Amino acid sequence: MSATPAALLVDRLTKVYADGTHALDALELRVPSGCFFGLLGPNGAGKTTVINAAAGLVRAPAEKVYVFGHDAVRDPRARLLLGLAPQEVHLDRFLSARDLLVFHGRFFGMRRADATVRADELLTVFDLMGKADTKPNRLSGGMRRRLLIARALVHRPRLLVLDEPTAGVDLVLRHELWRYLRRLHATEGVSVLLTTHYIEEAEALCERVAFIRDGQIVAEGSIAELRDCFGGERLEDAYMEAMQT
Amino acid sequence: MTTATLRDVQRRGTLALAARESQRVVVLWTQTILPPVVTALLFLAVFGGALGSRVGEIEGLPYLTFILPGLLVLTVAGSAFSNNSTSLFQAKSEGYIEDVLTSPLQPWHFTLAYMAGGLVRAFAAAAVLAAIATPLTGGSRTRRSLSPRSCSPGSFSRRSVSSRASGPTPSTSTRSSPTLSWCRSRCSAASSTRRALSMSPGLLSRGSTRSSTSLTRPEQVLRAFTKPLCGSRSR
Repeated sequence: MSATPAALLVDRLTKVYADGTHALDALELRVPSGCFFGLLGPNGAGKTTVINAAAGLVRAPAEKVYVFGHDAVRDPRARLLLGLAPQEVHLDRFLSARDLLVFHGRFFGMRRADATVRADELLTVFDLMGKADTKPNRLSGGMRRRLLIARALVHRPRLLVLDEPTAGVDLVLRHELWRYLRRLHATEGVSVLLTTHYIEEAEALCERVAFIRDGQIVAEGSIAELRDCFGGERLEDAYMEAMQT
Repeated sequence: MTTATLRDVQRRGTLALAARESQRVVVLWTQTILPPVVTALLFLAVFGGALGSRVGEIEGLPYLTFILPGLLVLTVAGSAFSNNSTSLFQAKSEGYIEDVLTSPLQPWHFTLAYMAGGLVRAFAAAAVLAAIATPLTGGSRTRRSLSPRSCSPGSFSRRSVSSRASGPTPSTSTRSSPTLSWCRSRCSAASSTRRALSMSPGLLSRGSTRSSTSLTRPEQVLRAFTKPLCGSRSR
């Protein structure tokens, strides 16, 4: 391990679900600190399993997943450093948008006053202040998606994990989210791990990209390195080549 | 981050989760507080109103007053259990449980916080029930039956033992372990129920001096059902 711990380090992680599905097969991944990192792969490749193992939603053996040097399984400090926006939008329908953010901050140890200030700040940034007192089930799909990303940011994580954040989001909102993520990454130095099926999204945002297939990382590098390695003019060509070889 | 700071973070997180669970109980009062209160009031109406006048006094208390503490305990236990189970499974089935599962809280923190929500619901329902039912069952006697001394497990044990044995109450029952007292209170509750039920046919049989035509329709139905049980007494 280098002097500056990686934002996320996965060390030969194997995950077999109870039904016998081999989700991950000795997967190794290193997301450098401060990096905007993309994880690309087909459906069922293991992207969400990696993310859930880091966030504590999937059981993983100890000493296999580290967040900024903290064991994601044994050390609760790892959870404080990671913010997760899951693929599916699940929000507590009994709470208003503001309460949802405030409670999330408080679950992560923030004081009520601090969490309220932070919630209002994020509601403004994500253009949801007008819906602060609205329950999530009365929000549009795009608003719920924005609220989900806002929730992941309440406790000021150093690693933001976005699992297909723009799936089902219209083009205008997608570009708004891109702008916000770029700004967040540039100004606050937040490391970002992004999984997506939109290759152009990874090309527009990510500094480094890894291709995952059948629970293993098949290639990892900057976009230019991957293009050089697999050929083609665009990242999409490199991706297609990597998935077929 | 030091261990002390982490503990502080987890303590605040646990309190926040407990607050969310308690808030849920209050916001959804029509689903959390109202149903157990209505159920208990129905019990009071059926057992206390319909059967109470026939059962007469138990332990020197009217039947309605006698069963109220039991109904309160039943409300507390049922509400606490159902709140924790429904809240947890709703969060899991709707998927928003990941909000707390990704937090730095440990499983025992979740347990404490969910228990707090269950307690809030249980005591809120019991308080509402007591407020509604106490005037119905008569003020001073109910206060006596609901007093901490009379509601304690030891008190139930004493009553149970004294109702079974004609001799003086063994003083050891009050000095037994809490677990034993709890078990005894459950046993005494069951025996009280059995006793109350067994008294109904007897009372009906005492009323058999009345002609069957002078009985009301519900009494006739009840008598028809209990005839095989109280036939020997009637004779």
